[in-house]
Amino acid sequence: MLFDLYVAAPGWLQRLDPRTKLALLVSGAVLLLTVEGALPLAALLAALHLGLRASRVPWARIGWVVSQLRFVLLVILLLFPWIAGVPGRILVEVGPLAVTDASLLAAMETGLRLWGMSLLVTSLLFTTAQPELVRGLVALGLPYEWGLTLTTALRYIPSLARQIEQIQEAQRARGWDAARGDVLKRLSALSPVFVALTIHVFRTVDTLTMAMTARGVGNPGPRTVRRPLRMQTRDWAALVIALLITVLWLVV
Amino acid sequence: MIEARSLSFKYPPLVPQGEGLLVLNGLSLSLRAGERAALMGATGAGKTTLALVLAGLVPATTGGELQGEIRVAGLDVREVGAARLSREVGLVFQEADHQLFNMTVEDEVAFGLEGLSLPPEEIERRVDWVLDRVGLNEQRERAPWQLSGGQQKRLALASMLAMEPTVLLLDEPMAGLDPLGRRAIAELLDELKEEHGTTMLAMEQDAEWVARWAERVLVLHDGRIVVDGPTREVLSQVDLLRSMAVQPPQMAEVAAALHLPGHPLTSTEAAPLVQQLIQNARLPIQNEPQEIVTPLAVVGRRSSVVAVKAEGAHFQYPNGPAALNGLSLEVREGEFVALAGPNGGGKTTFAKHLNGLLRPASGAVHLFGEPTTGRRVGELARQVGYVFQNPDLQIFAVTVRDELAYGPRNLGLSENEVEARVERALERFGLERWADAPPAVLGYGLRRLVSIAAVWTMQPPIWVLDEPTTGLDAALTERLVAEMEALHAAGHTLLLITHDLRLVAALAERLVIIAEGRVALDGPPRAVLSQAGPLRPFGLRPPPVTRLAGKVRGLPDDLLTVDELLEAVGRNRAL
Amino acid sequence: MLENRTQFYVLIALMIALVAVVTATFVVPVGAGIFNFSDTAVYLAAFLLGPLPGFLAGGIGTALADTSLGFASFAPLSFLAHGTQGLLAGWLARDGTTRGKILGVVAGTIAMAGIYFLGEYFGPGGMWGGPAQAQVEWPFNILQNIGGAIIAIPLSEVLRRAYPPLTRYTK
Ligand SMILES: Nc1ncnc2c1ncn2[C@@H]1O[C@H](COP(=O)(O)OP(=O)(O)OP(=O)(O)O)[C@@H](O)[C@H]1O
Ligand SMILES: Nc1ncnc2c1ncn2[C@@H]1O[C@H](COP(=O)(O)OP(=O)(O)OP(=O)(O)O)[C@@H](O)[C@H]1O
Ligand SMILES: [Mg+2]
Ligand SMILES: [Mg+2]
Repeated sequence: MLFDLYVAAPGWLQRLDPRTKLALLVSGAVLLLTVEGALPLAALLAALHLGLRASRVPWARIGWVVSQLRFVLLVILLLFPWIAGVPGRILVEVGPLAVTDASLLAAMETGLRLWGMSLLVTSLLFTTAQPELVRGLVALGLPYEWGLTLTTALRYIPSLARQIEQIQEAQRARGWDAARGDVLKRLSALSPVFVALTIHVFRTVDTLTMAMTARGVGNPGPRTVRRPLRMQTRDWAALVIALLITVLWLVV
Repeated sequence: MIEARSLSFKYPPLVPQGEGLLVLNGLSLSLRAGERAALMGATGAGKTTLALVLAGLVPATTGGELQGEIRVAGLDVREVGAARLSREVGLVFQEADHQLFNMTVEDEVAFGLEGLSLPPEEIERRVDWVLDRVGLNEQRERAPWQLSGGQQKRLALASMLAMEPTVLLLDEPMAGLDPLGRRAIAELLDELKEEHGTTMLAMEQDAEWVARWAERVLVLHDGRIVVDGPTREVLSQVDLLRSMAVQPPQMAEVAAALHLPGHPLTSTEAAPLVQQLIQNARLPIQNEPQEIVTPLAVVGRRSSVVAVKAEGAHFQYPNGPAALNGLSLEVREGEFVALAGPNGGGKTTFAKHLNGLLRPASGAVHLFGEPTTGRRVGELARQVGYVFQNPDLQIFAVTVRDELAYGPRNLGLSENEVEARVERALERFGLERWADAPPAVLGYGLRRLVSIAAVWTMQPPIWVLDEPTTGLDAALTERLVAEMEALHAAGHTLLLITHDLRLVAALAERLVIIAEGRVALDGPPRAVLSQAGPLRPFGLRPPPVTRLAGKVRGLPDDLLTVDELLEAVGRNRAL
Repeated sequence: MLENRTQFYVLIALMIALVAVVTATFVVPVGAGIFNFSDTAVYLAAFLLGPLPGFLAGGIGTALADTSLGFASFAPLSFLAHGTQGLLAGWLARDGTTRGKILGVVAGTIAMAGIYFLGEYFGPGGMWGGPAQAQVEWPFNILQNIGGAIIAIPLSEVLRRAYPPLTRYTK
């Protein structure tokens, strides 16, 4: 479903504490930003793919990231080499512009890095349920109210998406025929959708505020957690390994 | 336990220079610990507002002016605030889906418990206990918005029960539930009262349920409690209730008309009294079921044109259950068909197939002989007008006038014709005063009328109305009934989806029960409703009058309305 | 701002969700390209509710949309660009006049397109696409802003009329 990328499977990443995964994310980002050269980056990316697959994320899901990025990547591969201007052996030349082999490699490096960073963040979402992620953030010091705000936003995204569908259904049920209109007509049909959606949002704000208050939100005093997060041995192990790799890489 | 003295409440104005609506006006109310009371009143009387005020949520969230004193569970509501109050007072909202805001069913229940700072083991224990009680154990990991309407209601209740409140406020706990769901929730509330002595106040329109559940009934009218007393006494004052747009139980109507002693409220109570009446009076007993003319003099006008024809329609929602399972149905032009059946049976799904919002995966749907395949929704809308189950999903324009003009404009009518239709609709539905008001801020009853008027301006030959009377009081329901009768008389084909079998009995020419995505029963209401046996598997029961007729020797078994019963008893004063 | 703290958090949460949903699902193919309505939603939030909600809803909402669409690496950049856009628009339009809104749109457009351009151009290691991406994208960003504003400014007026209780959230 839209916005929920979590793959509920008993993979090794799914089993880690969300805080551990956030640390892994940071060290992964450091590596991706400091490793240079297309080949080493490709190797990192391959490792990331294998790690995800080992954590039972299906290939189709992993591949989805690159398919979403395909236009951006295409722009980078096709245009970047022309303006990069890295000296090297000239491959193609059109007027004053030229593509060198080094420029091409630089373009590939940029593309791989972008892909890698996207996949890295997405892999956190592939392997962590949204509420758990927010719990991790709260455990790391995000104030509870803001954690709740974030969870609520995530919770209501699919619900608003359904709302949009329903408004559009209502329009069609009263004779709206999208296929007959040109672009302008189609744009003008969106205005009532916006109006109805926004009004729905404001009404939801009131009812939801009441619903939350009725269950004690805003009551001063400590809250407990039904399933408190606990760092396990595997979390510490993963942390130590990640730290070792990153530090070794930075030092060497 | 609940103590309110001279409460007045006024909502903030809805338009910049307008006047706020005075909803409560010097209301006083007092409930003892452990009492089980029902509050009734017309649509828009202020039942929900009162519940929210008692829970401290209004005016804190909505703004407005509140006067008077309120103590609930020994706390001064206006002083301590809603959040603190939530430790003692549980409120189950009118619309359950508004109340569910977590990602899984078990998180939903745990949320309030975490706020009570209970230790994790205790939270776990209560979550297990309450989910088991409401029968949602299997659904623990599912998202609340994927549950059926009835399951959502149970979950909303469960999340409140787990907090073990001393006072429980229930806002229309029965609306939109099928009879099976109603029974399950009623049983749960009984258990709760026995185990914890919880004080309960339910705002409810369904008199049949109130008659069985409540010990005491209050009626809210003009911002005040105008009637307050033991259930039997209050519900028997049929004319008084009617005058306040509250629908009395059918047996109370019968008892009043026949002057039965002892204020019976259920068919079991009424049966021996009616039996005795018949025997004492030595009334002529009609043994043969008598052909009774339905109120609509339209029987026999069956057209040979088939308006709607579904043939083995199959449909499955993505990652959902099979919602239609080979549904076949034929409706003639000008017929008035009621569709009923259990929650999740596929009624709404079928309705959406008629105007192409959904398409059958296999099988076919024909309108006036032409298949819907390949025709767009916007085009089908010329033939089928669809009144949505939830009016809020249907209303999107900035003013009521725009809302009513939207459909006919899409039909490509001339501006003059559009305007003429809008004016006629405004008048017909009594909406002139609100013509330029934003529909979104109107009360529920008015929004419902707008949603119907907006289809009316399109004048489609086929109407599909999805539970149009849910949540409406007796007066508004009567208004809708009159409107549907007029449409029927004018030759429109009507498909009415409803859980209200009393309505079906009084109105429809044909009753189709849809269950598990198929037509389970199909026939004239008289035939379908007079047999309790075949209805039972679908969690349905005949209306109280029909049940009464079945229990009294000498009455035909297939009486459907109070009038028919009175006529059969031979005492109908109207005759 | 709202006195009721819970209501404030809920308002922010739902505006975030609104921006995210609109960004991710409201796309109209225009010619060869795609027009998305993120800017309409950000301006709407800013005009109706002010700078802080404009910032949070614009920033977090678009960042979430990026993430869910697979463009996760762009999320921080979107947060900055659209957050600033909402902040400036909400602040400049706080008097509620059309003049203020137009000013807000101008400032918002410059901030949004500018931050994307700078970020992509100079982002560490080209993680946001580098100069090529930056130069291809900025004209589209400006067009989207203009299109978004053309819808958002009248819409904010319509909404005030269609739902008068709105004023409760603004002050
Ligand atoms: N937030 C609000 N602002 C202004 N008016 C409101 C608000 N909420 C409700 N009202 C109005 O107050 C009146 C009482 O509404 P309320 O929902 O309490 O009635 P009710 O008895 O529960 O009706 P129903 O049977 O439809 O549930 C209605 O006219 C309604 O339009
Ligand atoms: N959008 C949806 N996605 C997935 N499943 C759905 C969706 N809408 C309905 N369903 C499922 O399809 C089945 C039929 O639902 P439908 O809404 O047609 O029932 P109904 O007869 O109208 O019930 P009710 O009396 O509660 O309105 C149910 O099992 C329901 O859970
Ligand atoms: Mg109500
Ligand atoms: Mg339905």
